[in-house]
Amino acid sequence: MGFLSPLWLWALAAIALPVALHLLSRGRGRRVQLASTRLLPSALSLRGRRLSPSDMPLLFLRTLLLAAVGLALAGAWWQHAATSTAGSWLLLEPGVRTAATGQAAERLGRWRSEAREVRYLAPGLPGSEPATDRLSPDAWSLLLEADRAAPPGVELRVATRGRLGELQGERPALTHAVSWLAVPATGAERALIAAGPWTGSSVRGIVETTVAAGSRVTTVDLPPGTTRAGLVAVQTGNHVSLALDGAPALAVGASTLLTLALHADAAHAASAAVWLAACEVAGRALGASATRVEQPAGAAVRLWLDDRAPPAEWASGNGVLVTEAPSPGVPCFGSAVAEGEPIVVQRCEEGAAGTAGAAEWRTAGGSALIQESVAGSLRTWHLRTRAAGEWSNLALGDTLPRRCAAWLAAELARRGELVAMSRFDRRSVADEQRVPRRSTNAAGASARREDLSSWLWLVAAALAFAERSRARRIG
Amino acid sequence: MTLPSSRLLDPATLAGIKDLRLVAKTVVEGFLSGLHVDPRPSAGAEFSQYRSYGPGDDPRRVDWRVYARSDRFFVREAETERDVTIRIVLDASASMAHGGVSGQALSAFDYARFATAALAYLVTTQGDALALHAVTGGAVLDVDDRRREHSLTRALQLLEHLNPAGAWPSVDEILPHVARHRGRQLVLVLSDLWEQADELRRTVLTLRALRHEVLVLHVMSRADLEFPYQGDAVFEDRETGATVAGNGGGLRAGYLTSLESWLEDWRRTLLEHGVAYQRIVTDEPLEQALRSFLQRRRLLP
Repeated sequence: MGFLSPLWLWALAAIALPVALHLLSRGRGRRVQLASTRLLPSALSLRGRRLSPSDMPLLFLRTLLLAAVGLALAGAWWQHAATSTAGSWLLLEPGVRTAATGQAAERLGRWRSEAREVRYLAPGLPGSEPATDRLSPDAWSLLLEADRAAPPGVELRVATRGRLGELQGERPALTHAVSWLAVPATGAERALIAAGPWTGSSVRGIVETTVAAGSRVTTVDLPPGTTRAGLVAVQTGNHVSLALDGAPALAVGASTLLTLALHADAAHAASAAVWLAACEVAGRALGASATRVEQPAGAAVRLWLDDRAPPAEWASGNGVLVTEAPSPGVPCFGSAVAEGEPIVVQRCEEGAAGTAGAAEWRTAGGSALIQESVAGSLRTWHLRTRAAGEWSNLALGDTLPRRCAAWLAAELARRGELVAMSRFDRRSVADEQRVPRRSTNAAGASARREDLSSWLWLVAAALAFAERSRARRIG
Repeated sequence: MTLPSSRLLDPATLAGIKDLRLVAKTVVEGFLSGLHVDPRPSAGAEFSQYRSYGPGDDPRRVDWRVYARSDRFFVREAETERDVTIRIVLDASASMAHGGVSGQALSAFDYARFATAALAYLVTTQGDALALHAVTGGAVLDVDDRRREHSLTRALQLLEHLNPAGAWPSVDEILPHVARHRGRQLVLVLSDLWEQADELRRTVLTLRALRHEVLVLHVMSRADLEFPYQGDAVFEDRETGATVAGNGGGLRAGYLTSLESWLEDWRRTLLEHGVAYQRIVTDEPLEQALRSFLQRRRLLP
C-alpha cells in the first residue's frame, strides 16, 4: 500500500482520541454508592453494553472511522501483484542513455537486458534512437500509444530525463503497470522566459539558465535587429520578436511598459494556466493588470501584463482574446488549451482564508491554486496544481511556472521587495506517477494500481452511519 | 384503621429529633390506642368472667364453689398473661446506609432504627420482654436480659450509637445470639435483605426452622426501588466495594426487572416457610408503616 499524501497519515493519531476517552470514561465519572450492585450485572447483560463512551463496539466503530478517513485523506493506493511474468517494455526518452550516469546508468542497463522490447518516446515509437534528443511534446500520447500496443501483463518501464513528470497536461489512464526512472539532467539549459518592455529603442529579454545546482536569470537589453548573448531581436510591424538559440520567439508589443510573453504548447496547457495564475498574482503585486491572449493548440500562449489593453494584433488573426473573469474582483483566466479542446472555466473563487491573496482556477482538466501569503516582510507564493483529483505541488523544474517564478523573483527583487518563492522539491517522475489510475482495460492487465481512497470514503460513510445508529441506541 | 394524615410524622421530621426515646414515644403514641391485651379467653390467675359449662370444656375448669352456691356448672375464665420475649434483629450492615438521592429522605438504617426504637417502646410498654440484636460490622451487639425495666433504655442507647458497617455474617455467628434461649419466641427482623450469598436468607429460615415466629420488615429506600440515576456513573457496592460502570438511564430497565424478580423471590420464599413479610419504604410515614405491620400481625388491637 502506498500513499499519495503521506503527511495525512498523521491524522491517524486522531485514533487516540476515542481510545483515550474510552479509557478515561472507564476509570472516571460520577461515583454513586448503591446498597448493592448484585442486580446490576444481570441488567448489564441486557442493556449495559450500550454504555457510552465505554461501549466497546462503539469504540471500534469510531476508531475504524477515523482510520478510514485518515487513510482516505492520505490517498492510499494498492498495487496489485503481477500475476504473470510477461516481461517488460522499455521506453526511453531520446538522449536519456547518454545522460544516465552512475546508479541510473546501472539500472538502465539492467532494464535494457530485461526488456522484451525497447522503444523510444518519439513519434511512431521507433526501436532505434531518433536523431533529435528533444522530448516530444506529445510524450503522454506516446506513452498511451505504447500502453495500447504492449501485450497484456507487460510492465512498462520508462526512462526519462525527468521532464516527463513536469508535463502537467492531461495524463492518460494506463492499463499496464509503469515503472519510472528519472535520470537527472546534466549540463546547462537556457530558455527565454520573458521579454519586455519595448521602450521603442530597445527591448528587454529575460533568460533563465538552468544548471544542476539551480537557475540564474539574466536580463539583456538589446535594440531590434541586434543579437546579444544568443538573443535575437527582430522588429515586425508593431511587435518585436525575440528568439534564443533558435527557440521560438516571444513577441513584444510596442509601447508596452512591461510585457511578458509566454510560450506554451498543448502539452503545457495546464502548466500555462498555473503560469498565468502566478503572473496574475504577480500582476496584482506589481500593481498591473494582466490580460491574456490565447492561441489555438500548438501555438503560443501570451500574457499581457500591463495596465492598458493588449495590442489589437494580439486579438486578431488566429488568436482568441480572453477577457477578465466573470466574477467581479477575482480575475480569472479563461480557457487553456488541452489537446485541442478548450478547458472551460467553471468557477473562480477566492482561496483559503488567512492568505494575503489566493485564487483557485478550476477547469475541467484540473485546477491551479495560487496562494500568496505574507509573513512579516516575507511574501511567499505557493503554486499547486491539481489533475485527476490529485493535488500536487508544482514541479519547479525546467517548466514555465518556474520560469514565471524566477521572473517574478527577479522582478520583485528589482523593485525592492523581499520575495521568497516557495520552491517545492521536485518529486521524481516515479513519484509523480504514483497517481493511481484505475484500469480501463482490465482484461489485459495483470498488475495495476487501485485507488483505495474512494472505497475508504465509502467505508467511512458506512462506519459513520453505524456509529450514529449505535450512539442513538445508547442514548 | 387509617390515621389522619395530620397525625403522621414525615420521616424527615423524625430525623430532626435527636432524642431516640422521644422518637419512639412520638411514633408509638401516634398509633397506640391502648395497651395490648390478648382477647383470647383462657385459664389464668387474672379473673375475667364466668360462663356456663359446655361440651368440650375441661371439667377441671369448673368452679365448684359457684356450683355449690348456684347448683349450676360455671367455667371460670381469665385473661392470658403473655410472657414472650420479642427479639428485634436490626440489620446494621453497610448497605443499610443507602438512602434517598434527594438528600432529605432517611437512609434505610435510620428508618429501621426509628422503627426499632418505636417497636422497643411498644414492646416494653406492653410489658413484654425485649431483646435487641444489632448486626453490624460482621458482629452482633445484644441487649438481652430479663430485667425489663432497663431493656428499653439500653436498647435506645445501643441504637443511638450504632452505625451501619460491614456485611451480614453467617448464620452460625448469629444464631448463638438470637436463638440461645429455649422456647418459642417472636423474632422481628428489620433489614434491607441485601446479601452477598444467602447468609441472610439462611438466618431467617433457620430461625423459622427452630419454630420461632419470624417477621421480616423489609426496609427499602426509594432509590433502591426506582433506581433514579441518570448519565454515566460508576456504581459502587457499599458492602463489597465492587464497582459497575454504566449509564444510569441505560441500566434502569434491566435493574428494575431484576429487582422485581428478586423481591418476588424473597416474598415467595418467606411465605412458603411461614415467615411474615412486609416491605416498607423509607419515605412513608413511620407510624403508618408500623401500624399497618402490627395490625396485620395482630399485635395491635
